[in-house]
Amino acid sequence: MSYCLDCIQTSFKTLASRPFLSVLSILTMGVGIGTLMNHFIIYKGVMDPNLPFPNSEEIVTVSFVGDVEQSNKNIPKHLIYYWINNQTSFEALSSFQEGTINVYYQNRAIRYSGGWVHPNLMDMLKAKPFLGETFKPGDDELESPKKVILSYKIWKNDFAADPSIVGKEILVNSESTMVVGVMEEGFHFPFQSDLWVPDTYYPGAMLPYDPKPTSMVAARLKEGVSMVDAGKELDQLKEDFVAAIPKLYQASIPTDSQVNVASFVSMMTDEVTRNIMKLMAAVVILVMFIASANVSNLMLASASTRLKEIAIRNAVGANRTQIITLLLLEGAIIASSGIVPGTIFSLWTIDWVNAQITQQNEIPFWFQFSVTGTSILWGSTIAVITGLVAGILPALKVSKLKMSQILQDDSRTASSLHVNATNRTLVVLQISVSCALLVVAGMMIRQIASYQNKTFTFESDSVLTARLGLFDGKYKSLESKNEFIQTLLRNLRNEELISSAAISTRLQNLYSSFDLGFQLPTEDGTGFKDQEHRSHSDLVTTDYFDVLGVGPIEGRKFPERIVSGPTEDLEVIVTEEFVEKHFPDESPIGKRISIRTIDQSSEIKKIGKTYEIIGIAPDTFVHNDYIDEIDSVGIYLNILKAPPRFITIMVRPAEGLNPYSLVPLLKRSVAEVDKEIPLYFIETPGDSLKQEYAGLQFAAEWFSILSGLALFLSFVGIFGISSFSILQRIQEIGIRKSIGSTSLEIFTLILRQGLAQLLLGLTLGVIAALTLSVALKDLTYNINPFDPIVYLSVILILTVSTLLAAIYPASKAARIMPAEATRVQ
Amino acid sequence: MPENDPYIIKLEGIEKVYYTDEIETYALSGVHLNIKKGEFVVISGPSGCGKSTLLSIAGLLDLPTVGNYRFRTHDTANLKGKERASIRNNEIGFIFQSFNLIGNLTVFENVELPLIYRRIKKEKRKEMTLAALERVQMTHRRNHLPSQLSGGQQQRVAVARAIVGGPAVMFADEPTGNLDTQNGNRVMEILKELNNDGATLVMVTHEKAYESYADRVVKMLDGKVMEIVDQKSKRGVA
Ligand SMILES: Nc1ncnc2c1ncn2[C@@H]1O[C@H](COP(=O)(O)OP(=O)(O)OP(=O)(O)O)[C@@H](O)[C@H]1O
Ligand SMILES: [Mg+2]
Repeated sequence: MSYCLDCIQTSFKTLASRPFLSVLSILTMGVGIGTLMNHFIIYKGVMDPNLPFPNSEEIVTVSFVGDVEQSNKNIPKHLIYYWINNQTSFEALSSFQEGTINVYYQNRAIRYSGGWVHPNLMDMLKAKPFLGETFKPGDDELESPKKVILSYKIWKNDFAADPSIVGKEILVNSESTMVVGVMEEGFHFPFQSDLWVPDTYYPGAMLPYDPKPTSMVAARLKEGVSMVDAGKELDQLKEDFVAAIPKLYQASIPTDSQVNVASFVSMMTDEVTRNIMKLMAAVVILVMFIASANVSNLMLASASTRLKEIAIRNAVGANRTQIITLLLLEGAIIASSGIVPGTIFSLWTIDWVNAQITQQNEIPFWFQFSVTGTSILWGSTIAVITGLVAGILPALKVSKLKMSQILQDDSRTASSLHVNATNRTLVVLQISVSCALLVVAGMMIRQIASYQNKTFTFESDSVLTARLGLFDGKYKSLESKNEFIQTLLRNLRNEELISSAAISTRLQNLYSSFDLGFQLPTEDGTGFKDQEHRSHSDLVTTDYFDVLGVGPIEGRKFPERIVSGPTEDLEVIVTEEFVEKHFPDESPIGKRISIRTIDQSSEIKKIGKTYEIIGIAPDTFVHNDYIDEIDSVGIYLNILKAPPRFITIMVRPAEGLNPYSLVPLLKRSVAEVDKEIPLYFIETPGDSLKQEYAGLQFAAEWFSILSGLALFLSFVGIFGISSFSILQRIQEIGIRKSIGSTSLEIFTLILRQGLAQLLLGLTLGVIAALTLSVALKDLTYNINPFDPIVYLSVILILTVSTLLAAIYPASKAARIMPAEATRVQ
Repeated sequence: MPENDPYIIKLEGIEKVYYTDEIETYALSGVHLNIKKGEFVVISGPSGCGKSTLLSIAGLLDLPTVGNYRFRTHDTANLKGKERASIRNNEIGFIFQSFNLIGNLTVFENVELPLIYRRIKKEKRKEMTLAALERVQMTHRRNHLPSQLSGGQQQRVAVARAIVGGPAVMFADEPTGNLDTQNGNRVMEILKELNNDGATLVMVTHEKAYESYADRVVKMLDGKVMEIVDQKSKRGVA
C-alpha cells in the first residue's frame, strides 16, 4: 500500500518536474478523452437512443427488403390492414407517414411537419395525452368527424397554451377539424411531427388492391417474440393475402421481397449514417492513439532521464515487477489527469454538435445529445486503460536495461541512453495518422465545394422559391387548382418588384419531380417504336424559363391559360440534351411522342397518350435523392394540364433587388388569393442546396475537427519528441559545441531529425489516406480519392506544422551552453 | 592589444554565479589569471572550489557573470555565439574527464568532427585525422565505437580530437581522473609532448604527481586564486 502511495507520489513529482510537457500531455489526453466521450454520446444517441416511450426497445419497424427500390420499401395500405387484423406477434401494429400539414387558426396560416397515422399509434407507443385524448378505433374511416392531436410544443408556441383547446375547431389542410388532444411535452413521432391526423383508409374509394397508397409501419413486439419470428409471421400473412386476392392484382404486392422487422431506430438511421458513425469511431480511436502515444513519449522521456533513479531503486531492492508497476501506474495517472479537461471539452463541444444538428431538416426528434454519467465513465475507463497501455512501452524498455551498467558508468559515452527508436516510431505514426485524417477531411470539404459549384446552370441565388400545398379539402378539382395558380400568377406579374413569376412542381427547384416512360415515333410518323425510354420530368408554367433566366427557348411556350379541363392538344417542351439524344439529325418540333401515365389518379396505364413537341429548352440541372446523381430534366409538361397537390412558386425580382426582399410581398399575394394557405420553405435554390448538404457539411466539419485535433496532437508529439531528444542529446550537443559547432549547425541538426520523421510519416500517411479514402468512396460519398490538391495541401500543412513544432526545441538546443552540457553528472 | 603582449589568456575579475532553486552559488569570485603563450599551467584545489568553472570560461564553453576575459586577440565579452564557436573550433582544444565521445560515431568520425565544422575538404580531413590518431597511437582502432574501447583508449581519442585542428590552447579538465595510473601517465606524456611542441596547456588535476609537469600551478580555494607557484623559476633557482 505504502509502495503504491510512493509510486503515486513519484509520478506526480515526475510530472511536476517537467511542467510544460506534462501540461501538454494532460491537455492532449483531455482532448482525446473528450472526443472519445462525445463520440460515445453521438454513437449511442444515433445508433441506440433512448426513445421517450415506455419499453421503447420493443418498438420495431417493418419494411420490405430485397431487390426493391427505395420507394417500394413502404407497405401497401391494403396489406397493412390485413396485418393489423390478423397478426399475433405484436401487441399492436400501426402505420404512419410524415409530411406537410397546413393549419389555419385565428387568422394565421402555418405549415407543420405532421403525421398521418393509424388511430392506434399513440396507444401502440404507450404515449399519453397531456390534454384530451388520443384517437379512437374508427377515426380512420372516411365518414368519421375530422380529428387532430397537437404536440405540446406547438400548443404552447402557436396556440397560446390555450387550456380549453380541446374541442375547438381549426382548419387542417383546409378542412374543419376538431382538436381532440395535446400530447405530453417531448412527444414527437416519427421524426419531428408536431401534429397528427388519422390516416383515412377507405377501401371503397380506392382501386381494388391498388399498391399505390403505402405507409410506413411501426409496431410493438409482444414479450418473448423475436424480430425474426415476427418477420416470418408477417411474411406468411403477406403470402396468404396475395393468394386471397384476384390474380390481376397480385403484382401489386412485391412478392420477391422479404418482410424485414428491425428496431425502429435502425430504420431511421440509414446505411450512410451508420457507415459514417463507424468510420468516425475508427477515427476517434486513432485520435486517442495519438494522444496516448504522446503520453507514452512523455514517459519514455522521463524514464530515460530517470534511469539512474530507477537503477538506484533497483539497487536498494525494488524488483523488476515493482519498477514496471511504477511506470504503468504513472501512465494511468497521466491519463486520468486528462479526465477533467476531457469532460470539460466534451461538455463544451457537445453543444456545438447539438447546434449543428438542429440546423438540419428532417432530423429525428431524438437526435439530441447530452453528456451523461455513462459517457464520462466510459471515456474515463478507456483513458485509464490507454494510460496503462501507454506505460507498457517505457516499462518494457526500462526493465530490459542493465541496471548495474547504468549505475557504474553511464558517463562513459555521451549517448548511453538508447530509447530513441521507439519514440521516433510513435511520432512517425502520429504524423501518418494526422495525414490520413486530414486527407479525408479535405476530400469531404472539396466534395461539398464541388457540389455547390457545379449543380446549377441558372442563377440559383437570384430566384426566390416557396412551397405550398393545395389540399383536397378545398382544391380537389383540376379547375380549382388552376384557378388558384392562374390568379396568383396574374397578381404576381402585376407587381412592380417582380420581373417574372412561374410555378413548377420541383421542390425548391432542386429535385427532379418524377420520371416518365415514353416512346419515340416510328420513321413514317404513324406509330411509336416499341422501346421505352425514361426521362426526368417537370410540370411548369409558361414563364418558367424566363424566371430561371436561361434565355429564350426554341419553338413555342406553353399557353398561359387553358380554357377548360384537359383537352386533346397535349404538348411537351424537351431539353437540348433530349434532342441530342433522341433527335440528333432533325428538328423535333412538331414531332409526336407517346408518354405513359402522369395522371393524378393512381390508375396503372398500359397505353400512353400522344404529345406534340412544341419547344426546346436549355438543360437545367436538378438533383435527385442521392446527391451524387446529378441529372437533367428531359421533358417539361404544362402544369395546368395536371396540377399537382404541392407546387413551387418561383419569382425573379426586378433588376437589382435582393430576392429575399420579396418575401412579404409573396406571402401577401398568396394570402390575397387564399388566406388559409401557408407558404413554407421560402428560399433561393442556392440556399436550399446548402441545407441539403448540411448533413455532409456536418460530417465534413466533424472530420475537420478530428483531423485538426490529430494535427494538434501530432504537433505536440513532435514538439515533445524534439524536446526530449535534446534532453537525450544534451551532452552530445555540448561536445559538438565545445569543438566548434555553431548554433546554426546544432539547430539544423535537430531540425533535420524532425524532417526525417516527417518524410517517413507523410509516406505512410499518404498510403493510409489512399486506402481510407477509397474505402470512404465505397461507404458513402462519391469523393475523388486521388485529388492531388488535397494531398498537396495536407503535405504542406503537415510540413509547416512539423517544422514549427521542431523550431522551438531546436533553437533551445542551439542556445545550450556547452559548459552546461559537458559537465560530469 | 599590443603586438608584443606575451599573454594569450587574460582573465580579470572573473565572477561566476549559479542560480539554482533561488540559491546563489558563487562558483568564482574575482579571479585574475594571465597565461603566456606556450605555458603549461595546472589548476588545483579542493573539490567544488571552481576549477571546472574557470576552465569552462577560459575555454569559451561558458560565460562569466562578471569580469573581462581576453583570449588572444579577442575581447570575449563582445563575441557573438557564432564567433565563439569558430574560436573553439580553430584555436581551442578541450579534453574532459569523462572523455565525452559521441557514442554512435566511430573513433575516426569523433576525431574528424571538428574538421567537418571547419569545412575542410574530405581528403585533407582524412590526412589530419589519421595524423592525430597516429599521435595518440589509436589508428588501429579507428573504426571502433567508443563503447568498444577502454577508458584510457577513449581518453586518447578525446585528446586526438582536441589536437586534430592544431589548437593554440588546450584545456584539459582532470583528463586522468577516470584513468588508472598507467593510462593516466600515458595521456600525460602525450599532453606534455604537445606542450613541448609549442601548444599552450591549461589543465585541472588532483594528482600532485602531475603538477611537476607544469610551469606554474594555480591553487584555488572557494572560487578564488589563493596562490600561484612558479615552478619554472623554482627550478631555475634550484
Ligand atoms: N550548473 C551549475 N549549477 C549550479 N551550481 C553549479 C553548477 N556548476 C557548478 N556549480 C557549483 O559551482 C561550484 C564550483 O563547481 P566546479 O564544478 O567548478 O568545481 P570543481 O572545482 O571543478 O570541483 P571538482 O574538483 O569536484 O570537479 C560548486 O559549488 C558547484 O556546486
Ligand atoms: Mg571539476
